[in-house]
Amino acid sequence: MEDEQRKTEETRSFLFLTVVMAPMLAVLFVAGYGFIVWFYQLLAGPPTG
Amino acid sequence: MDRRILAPLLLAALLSACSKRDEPPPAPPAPAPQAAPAPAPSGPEATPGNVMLSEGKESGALAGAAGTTGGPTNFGDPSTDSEALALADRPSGLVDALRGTPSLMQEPRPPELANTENKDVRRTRSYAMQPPTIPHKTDNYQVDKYANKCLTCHSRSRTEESQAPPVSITHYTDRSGNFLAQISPRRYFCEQCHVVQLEVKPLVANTFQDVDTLLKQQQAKPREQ
Amino acid sequence: MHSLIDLLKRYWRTIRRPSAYYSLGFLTVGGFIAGIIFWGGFNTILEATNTEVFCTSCHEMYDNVYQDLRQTIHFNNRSGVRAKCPDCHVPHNWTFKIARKMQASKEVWGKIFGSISTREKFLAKRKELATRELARLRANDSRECRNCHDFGYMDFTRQSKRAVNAHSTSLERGEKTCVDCHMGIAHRLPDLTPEGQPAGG
Repeated sequence: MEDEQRKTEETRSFLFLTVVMAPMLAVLFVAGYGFIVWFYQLLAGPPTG
Repeated sequence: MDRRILAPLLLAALLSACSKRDEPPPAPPAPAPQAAPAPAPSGPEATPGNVMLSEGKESGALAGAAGTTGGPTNFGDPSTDSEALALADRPSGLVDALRGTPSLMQEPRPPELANTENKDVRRTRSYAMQPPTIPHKTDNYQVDKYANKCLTCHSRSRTEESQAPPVSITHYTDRSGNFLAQISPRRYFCEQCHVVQLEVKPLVANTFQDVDTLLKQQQAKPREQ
Repeated sequence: MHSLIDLLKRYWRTIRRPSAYYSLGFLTVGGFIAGIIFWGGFNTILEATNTEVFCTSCHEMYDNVYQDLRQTIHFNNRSGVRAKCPDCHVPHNWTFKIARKMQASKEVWGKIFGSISTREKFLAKRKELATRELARLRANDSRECRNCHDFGYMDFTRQSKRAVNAHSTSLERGEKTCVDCHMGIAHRLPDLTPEGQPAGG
């Protein structure tokens, strides 16, 4: 692979990961966590404070 | 004559007799002066230094009272009629507990709002049948077809826990005297009869004497028969 | 299509290999800064969904429960200390808050399909909604009330006799929770009499 092309690809990959992929994954993880806790509360009852 | 015809006739006669005594009738709300023969657009020029009339239609009740009732005693528009103006500008001899005695042209300062007395102490009843006054605040207590906040403490089943006086048996009777299992609808709205009290001076002097006082006076009088 | 797969394969290979042109420091610190920016933005948006303005942007909320709230002491009072929608309806603890936010997808569904979009529909469903919220508050011992009204710091010398009686007995012993007596403090109550029992005192 040419150096110039590799550098471009790496730049784009870095930007894609930091701006798109990581945020999306973080949101999905947090939302998934929320859903899991919600379903757990449906089964095990609401929080008792 | 049939009772069903006689009663309404008597009632009508009584009402018309009452209305003849109270001329002019109490001032109608704001829309009435607009329909009256003397509108007040010339107010600001003709009434020097008078705030109420220069507000035009907002003078509402006062404009009505000053003579635009449209009835038999029509004083005319006070903003142009100097006679009416003179009449209105003297201290009213009327005893109006809410307004006091300033003339009709002055806007009196209303008294400050007082807080409801919240001491939870029972008060004397003036007569045996008096609905007891409420010794605590009842701000925003919901009493409608969905819920009755008063009954959350004062209902028969809640008294033990709340230590609040339960509603009396009289509240469970319908108008035929039958006893119902629950609060009768005619007694459901507590605040139609029971009121809170404010710590203010009474608006009007009160010379009421309760029956115990009267009985004592009778007994104290030497028996001269 | 074929070139797209080739493209993806190429980038995947780039991502999997160690970087040839970017230093470790750049990647780490750059990722960290991007993470901070992201997390700040995420929480800003999350808190924006926790505002009164956002909640009442749905007419179902604005026309019904918000109008109830406007007449109460939690909205407008002597000291101006107010409760807004999330203070009572969204748990403050992060985990429970996120769970509640996911549960809000039910509300988005309800908005899309108009489950309470008219006054009549709202009134018909009101008992179910109120019962659910009251059950939640009873289960967590009125935790949202206690976020502001801390029982341990109540001054009984400043309360009325009725309040002192109620608070120093069943509340102190834990037999009752705030909402058992104070239900209706924020929104009008629907008819909560259990099914099968006649309404009224």
